[in-house]
Amino acid sequence: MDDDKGFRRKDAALLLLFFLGIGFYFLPVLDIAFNSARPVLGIPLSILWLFCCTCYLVGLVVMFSRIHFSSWVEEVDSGRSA
Amino acid sequence: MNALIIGSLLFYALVTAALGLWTRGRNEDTSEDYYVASRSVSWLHLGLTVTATWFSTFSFLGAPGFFFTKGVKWYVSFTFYTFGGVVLFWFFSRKIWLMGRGKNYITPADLLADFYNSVLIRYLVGIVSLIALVPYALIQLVGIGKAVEVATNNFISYETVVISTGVVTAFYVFTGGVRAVLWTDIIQGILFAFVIVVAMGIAVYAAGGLSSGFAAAVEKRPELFVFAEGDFLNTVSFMATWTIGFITLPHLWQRSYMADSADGLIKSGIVVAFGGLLMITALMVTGVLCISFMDVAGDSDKLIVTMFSEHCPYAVPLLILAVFASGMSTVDSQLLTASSIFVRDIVKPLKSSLDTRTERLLGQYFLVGLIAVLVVLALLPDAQGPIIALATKGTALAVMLFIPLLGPTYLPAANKVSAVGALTLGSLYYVLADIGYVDTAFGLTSFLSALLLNTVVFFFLYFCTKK
Repeated sequence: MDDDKGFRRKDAALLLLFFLGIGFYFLPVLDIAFNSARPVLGIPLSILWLFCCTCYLVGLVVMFSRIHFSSWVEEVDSGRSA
Repeated sequence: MNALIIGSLLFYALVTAALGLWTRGRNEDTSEDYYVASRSVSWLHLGLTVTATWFSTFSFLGAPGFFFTKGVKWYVSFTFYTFGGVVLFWFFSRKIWLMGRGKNYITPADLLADFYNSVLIRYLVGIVSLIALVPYALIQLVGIGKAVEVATNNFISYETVVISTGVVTAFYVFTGGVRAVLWTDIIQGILFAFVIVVAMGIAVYAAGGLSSGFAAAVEKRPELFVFAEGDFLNTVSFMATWTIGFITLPHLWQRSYMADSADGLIKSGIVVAFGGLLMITALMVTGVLCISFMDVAGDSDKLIVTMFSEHCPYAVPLLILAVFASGMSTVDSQLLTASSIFVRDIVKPLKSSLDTRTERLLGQYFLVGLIAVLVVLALLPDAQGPIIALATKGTALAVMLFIPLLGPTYLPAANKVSAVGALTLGSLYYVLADIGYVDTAFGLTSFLSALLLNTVVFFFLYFCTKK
């Protein structure tokens, strides 16, 4: 039961991080922040911000695969689930 | 140069045809093997084929053109739907895969009709899936035709390219089925990724470096690097269409059935994510830097071809090959899926005695007929407009399958009344709103209005009929 709760907490944390990622994307779209063409490191700020958001999502994808789905994969591939 | 282009295209056609014949000898004579490779596809193979299928001519020709004309607005949609799509893929496709493995599903309708125990749903899903596939497949042929025509200065006509692409694709898919598609997808995907990186290199070089290129682009078109008021709804609409489309487009849904294991399915998502990061970044840099040194009036789909022709003409044959690859890697999967849908969702309910071998044969002949229709459609003048709009319409229809999919995946108490109501009303409304016959709700786009109606109808009927 404790494991199950732990798993759910990890799920919730990852989903929260994912929705946070969506929020990051909308900061410039809604003109809250980073909606500027000012160059930072030679790249327009809005583009640089969206690139960072993209890398963040790729990182989350890797975390999802390792944390969220690992027990499901183990269960299904070992034949414990139909 | 033209001789080199023709030679490389012929060589490529021969290689893909040979792959079709080679894989034919490895196929089992069943529809399950012909359409989903007997559910034996490894993680790397699956990841590469999903990436190659996802990044189509639309990405190759349409995306740089969109970065060029829409700038940062396009970047947010394009990046989000690829990675959001992967996350959705895991949450839904693992359940789709598990159910498919247990009950030998091949088409989206196999799963939905079985869960809702309804032949009507099978027909509805089958018809929506076919309608969703046609415009999307059409843009591949149109894209290839346009690119080759521009790159060869009309030496090879649009019509010749469209017809020969149709013939080659039909040949290897007809003979080799999904195994031929999977192998050609690997070659096509790698070639496609390589040329995108080359395109980025050309753009950086022509712009005089990354920083100076970005600076010149900002100076020339500053409005493309900031979001304006009113961009929000269009951005959300586009993001939602393609993010959900990642799992509900029938040819991608069918790939969910192919994984050899749960581990393979999950790992394939990582391949797609990293492949996506590489390709989207390269496409973005190429499209945005082109702003600084190019002027393309009218059809932005021709941007990348024009860039190669003007700044690196010797690489044009490579570009043409990549355009062929990107188009074929999508259209072959769509043809195969459409043929499986025709046989299993339209014909089989009428003639239940079909054995698996006849099913396969019937699918092969339908496939040839369908590509003939697509070639004719691609030759019509109306089909040659900006290609992305066509693909989005098809994908938007496929998204109407998403809410009914909640039943078998997360809402076991859902029933066929809610699924039929949502699917029928959502799809009809989208088509009518898109052609301007009915108004959209709350100032939303036609797609978001239809998705809202689809969702409301599903849950309203679900709660009304829940026992």
